[in-house]
Amino acid sequence: MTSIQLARGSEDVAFAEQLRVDLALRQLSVRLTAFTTGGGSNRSDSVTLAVVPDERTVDYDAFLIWVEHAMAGGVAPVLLVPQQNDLPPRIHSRAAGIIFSQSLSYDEVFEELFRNVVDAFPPWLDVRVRPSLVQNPTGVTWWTDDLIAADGRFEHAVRISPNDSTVVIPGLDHPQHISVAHRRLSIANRSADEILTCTIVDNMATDIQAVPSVDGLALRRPHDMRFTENVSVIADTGNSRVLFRSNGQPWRTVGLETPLEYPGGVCVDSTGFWIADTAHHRIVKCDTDGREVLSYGGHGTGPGRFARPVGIIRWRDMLFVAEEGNDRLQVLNVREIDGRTELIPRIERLAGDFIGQPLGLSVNSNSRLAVSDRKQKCIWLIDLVQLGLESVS
Amino acid sequence: MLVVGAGASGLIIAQRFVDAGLSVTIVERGSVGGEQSNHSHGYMHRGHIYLTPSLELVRNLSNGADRWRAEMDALGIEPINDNSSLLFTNAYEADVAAAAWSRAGLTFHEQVGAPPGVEQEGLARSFITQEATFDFTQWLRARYERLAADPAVKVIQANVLRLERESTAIVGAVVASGGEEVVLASSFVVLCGGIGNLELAATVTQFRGNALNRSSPMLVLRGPELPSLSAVFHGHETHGMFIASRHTDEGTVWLVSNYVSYAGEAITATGVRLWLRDIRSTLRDRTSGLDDPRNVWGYYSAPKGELRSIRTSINSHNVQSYGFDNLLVAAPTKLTLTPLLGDVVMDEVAQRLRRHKRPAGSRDIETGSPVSVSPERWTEATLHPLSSLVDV
Repeated sequence: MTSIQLARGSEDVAFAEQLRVDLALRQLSVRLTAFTTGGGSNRSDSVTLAVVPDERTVDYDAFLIWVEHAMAGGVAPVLLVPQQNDLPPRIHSRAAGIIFSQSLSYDEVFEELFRNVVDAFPPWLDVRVRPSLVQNPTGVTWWTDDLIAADGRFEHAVRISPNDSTVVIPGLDHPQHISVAHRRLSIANRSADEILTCTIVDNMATDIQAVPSVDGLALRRPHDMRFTENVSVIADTGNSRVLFRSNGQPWRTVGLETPLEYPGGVCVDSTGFWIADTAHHRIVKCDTDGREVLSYGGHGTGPGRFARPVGIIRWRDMLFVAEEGNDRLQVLNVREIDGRTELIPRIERLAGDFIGQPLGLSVNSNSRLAVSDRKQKCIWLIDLVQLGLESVS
Repeated sequence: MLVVGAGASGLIIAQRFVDAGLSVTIVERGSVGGEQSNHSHGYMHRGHIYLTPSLELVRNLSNGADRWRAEMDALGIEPINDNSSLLFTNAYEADVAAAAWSRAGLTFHEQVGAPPGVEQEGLARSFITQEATFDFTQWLRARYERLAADPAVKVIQANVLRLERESTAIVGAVVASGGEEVVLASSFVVLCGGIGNLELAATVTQFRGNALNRSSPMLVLRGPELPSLSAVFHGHETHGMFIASRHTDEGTVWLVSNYVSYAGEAITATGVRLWLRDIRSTLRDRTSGLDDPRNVWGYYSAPKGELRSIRTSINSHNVQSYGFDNLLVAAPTKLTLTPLLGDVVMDEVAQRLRRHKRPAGSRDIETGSPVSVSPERWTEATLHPLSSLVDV
C-alpha cells in the first residue's frame, strides 16, 4: 500500500485535511506535515505530496526550504501548485509530478492527484474519481462516451465525463446496478422496491417512471435488470428469484433445480442470460426459455470459485464476475460447443493491484470495461484490447 | 413589431422597441409573466455561483444585474434581499472561488459564521455578496401597465397557433380569435414565449438549433420561525442548493431549489418524488428549524425555455434567427441577462429592418379583455404539513 506524506502551509490546513480524508477513504495512508517541520521523508515506499502555497503567503519561503531539503534527501515530491509562476525552475525540473490547480475544481484536482499517487498506472487502465459526487459507487453503465454511476452514499445517479460530473437523478434509495437499453436508462432502486427507468436528454433525465412490479409480480429489493429485444431479466433479489421475459411473452420466474438465494446480478447474451446467484456463490446460465444450461462454482477463493458474486457481464467469449466476498474481478472463458456450455477460469483477479471491491460492470463498443469500486470509491476503466485479453482464447 | 409572449423578455424587448419609436403588438396566451418569469427566485446573479467565472461572464451578469437595479429603482421597486450568502463546505473550492472572483472583479467579503437558519457545522467558508433578489410580480405589473398605456403598443390576448413563412421571411403569425384564425402580419417577429418558442419555431423550420425546454423543481417552505434568507450552496458541492425568501403575514417563505433540472416541459410524479427526497435531505443537512411542526411546504415545477449557451460565455447565444430575415427567438439562460438580451435584439432588428421590405398592413382584431398579471408562482402552490413531505 502506498503511504503518502502530505505537506502543507498554514493556510492550507482545511484543504490538506480534506485531501487526507479523501485519500484515506481510498485506502491510501496519509501522514500530514507542515512545511515548518523540516524536510520530506525519504522512505522509499512513500509518495511525498506538497500543497504549494501561493507565492504571496508567508509559508512560501518555508516551502522552498522544505522542498530543497526533501530533494537533497532523494525525495521527488508531487507538487500541487496554484499556477506555474509560483514554482522556481530548479524545483520544477526535479518534481515527480506537478498539478497546476488554479481554476480546477476539487474533484479535478483530486482525480489528477489520485493518478499521481497510485502506483504506476499500466497503459490499459484509467480512473474516474469524483469525491464530491461519488463516494460509494454501485451500478455503472456507459452512456455514449460518458459514464453514468449510481452512488449509495449520496443516493443519486451521476453522469461522469472526462472533465465534469453532473447529478442526473437525485433522491434514490440504495441504488444498485444500472443498465441501458434502447436509449433508456434503468436503475435498480433497491430500498424503494422498484426499478426506475428514464431517458437522458441534454445531460438531464426525463420521463422518469417507476416499475414496482411486472405482470403482477411485485419486486422486492431488486438489484439488477437487463432489457433487450429478445430477452429481459430482473434480479428480484429480495424475493430470491430472477424474473425473465422472452420474445414478448409474459414475465415468468426462473425455475432451477437448486433455487436461487438472493441473486444480485444478471446479464444477457445471444443464447440466454446469466445469473450471479450471490448467496449460493455460483453462476447460473439459462437459455432464452429460462431453462438451466449451467450451474457453476461454489464458495471458495480459488479460480472458478466465488464468494458473493454480485455483478456479471459477458464480453465476446469472456465472462466477468465481480465478487464482493473475494474483493476481486474474476474472468472466465465461455465455451459453447454442441449446445454445451462450459466455463474455464481465465484470470483470477483482474487489475488486482488496483480494484478494491468491484460491483458494477459495463463494456462499451470500444472494448472499454468500466468497473465501479466501492472500496476505492472510484470507477476503473480497463481497455480490454490493450490488455491483450481478446487475443487469447 | 410583433412580440410573442409577455414575460420578462417580451416586456423588456417591447419597451426597447417603443423607446426606438416602433409600434409593437404583444400577443400573450395566458397572463403576464405567467409561464416562466413568475417561477423564478428573482435572484440577480453577478457570477458568484460559478467556481471560476470568466471576466466576460462576470461583466455580462454584473451589467445585467445593474441594469435591473436601475429599472427597479425607476419603477420604485425595492429588493427583497440585497446581500446573498455564498456558502461552501469544501475549503478548497471556497479558496479557488474567492481567488477567481477577485480576479474577475467581483465584490464580496468574508462572512463570520453561518447566516441565520443555516447550520454552522460542516461549513468551511461563507461570503456575503452583492447579489439581490426581487419580487418580479411587482416589476411585471409596473412595466406592463406602462407599456399597455402607451399608444404605440397593442396587447392581444390570444394563442399563436403557428407562424407562416414565405421563403426566408416570416409573413405572419396565426392566432385564434373569436372562433376563427386571423393572421397577424408584421415587419418583424420576436418569440419571447419561453417553452412555447420551440413549438412555434417548429411550425416554420425543422432546425432545432440550440433551443431547449427543461423544468426545474422548486420547493416552497413556509414557517413562522423561518428566518429571512438568501443563500447559495455552491454547485460544485455535493447537493448544492438555492434558498431565496419571501415574506407573508403567516411567516417567511423559502423558495428552495438545486442544480438538478429535468429535460422537457413536464416532470413525472416519480421524478418529483425523487427530487423532493433529495432536497429534503439536503435541507436537513444544511439548515436548522426544519422540524417546526407549524412549517408547511408546497412544490411546483418551473418550466424553462432557453437557447442554451456554454457557461463561460453567455452572450448572443441567447438569440437565434433560425436563418429567417425577420424572426428572432429570444431566451436568456438567466433572468439577470434579460436587459442585455434587449440590446442584442435591438442591434439585430436595426440591421435586419433595413434589409427587409415591410409587408402589407395587419388586420385589426379585437384586443379583448385586458391581460392580467400573474402573481409569483409560489403564492399559488398548495401547502401541506411538513410531515407529509416524508411520505412523498
